[in-house]
Amino acid sequence: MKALRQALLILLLALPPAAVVGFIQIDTKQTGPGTPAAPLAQDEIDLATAKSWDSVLWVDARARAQFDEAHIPGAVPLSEEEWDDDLVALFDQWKPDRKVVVYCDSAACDKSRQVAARLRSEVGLENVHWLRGGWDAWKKEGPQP
Amino acid sequence: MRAMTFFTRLLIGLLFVYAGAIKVWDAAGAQWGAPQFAIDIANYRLIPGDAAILLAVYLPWVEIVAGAMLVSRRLYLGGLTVLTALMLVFTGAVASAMVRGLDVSCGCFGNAGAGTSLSLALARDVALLGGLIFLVVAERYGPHSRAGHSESLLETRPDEV
Repeated sequence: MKALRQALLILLLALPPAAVVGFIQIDTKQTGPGTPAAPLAQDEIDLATAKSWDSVLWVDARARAQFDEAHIPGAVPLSEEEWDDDLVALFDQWKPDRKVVVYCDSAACDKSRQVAARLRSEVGLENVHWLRGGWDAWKKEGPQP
Repeated sequence: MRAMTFFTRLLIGLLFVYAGAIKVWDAAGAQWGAPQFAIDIANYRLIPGDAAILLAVYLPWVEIVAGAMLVSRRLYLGGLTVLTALMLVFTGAVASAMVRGLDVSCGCFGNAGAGTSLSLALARDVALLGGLIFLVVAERYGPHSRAGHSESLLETRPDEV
């Protein structure tokens, strides 16, 4: 019982700093829409640029279950687990003048970078990029350019 | 045994203070959108996005306060309870993400932990949970067990070392 009382007190003690910092963060973000985003890494591409390209082959590097649930229209799955089979299907869609944009779950995932690197180094494709923000960015901005 | 309890308590307490502080720091430095930790939480697909943002603001401070309580031995039982409950939730969330085949960052240490595999995060969570359970057992059955003692809410006692 005492442990629970103390636990409750700790949860209450954490509230004021969280409330103050949270309020400042939300306020800053609401009043500063022009703040610059972090610079793009090598081969990284943002969604607006990718959407502006004429011909893009979207490559979904997420788990197959996530791809089956939803994906960018026209995307082909390419997971590292089923690399060889997926690669055959990818080449059915690929053309030399088509830019390849690999995406994974979100800004936090790393698979898009890894798959893009493999497509460059092992398959020899050029014009391979990975999408900043991944599937989350697509969902937030919507499919229309 | 006493030295082991002391170092385990110190290690886990400081680890949680660090984990909480680095998330607060990441969020303060975020230039756009939601804090990275909010995105990490939302990626687990266990709670709605708005709840993830609130949790991302609140949870790091719970980690900092509870970790500090573990280190300082103030509100020690409460700190142990909160951190053990947190670790149970974190471990369950990581295990469930692995079972569902999600490709997510564990979010355990903000941007500093990006790229850590879920299996490594799970192993780390289980180890931390083991450490916390050890501290609970040591507190309950150790030489300085508080069982049967009546203490005030903020009371502390001389350390083991």
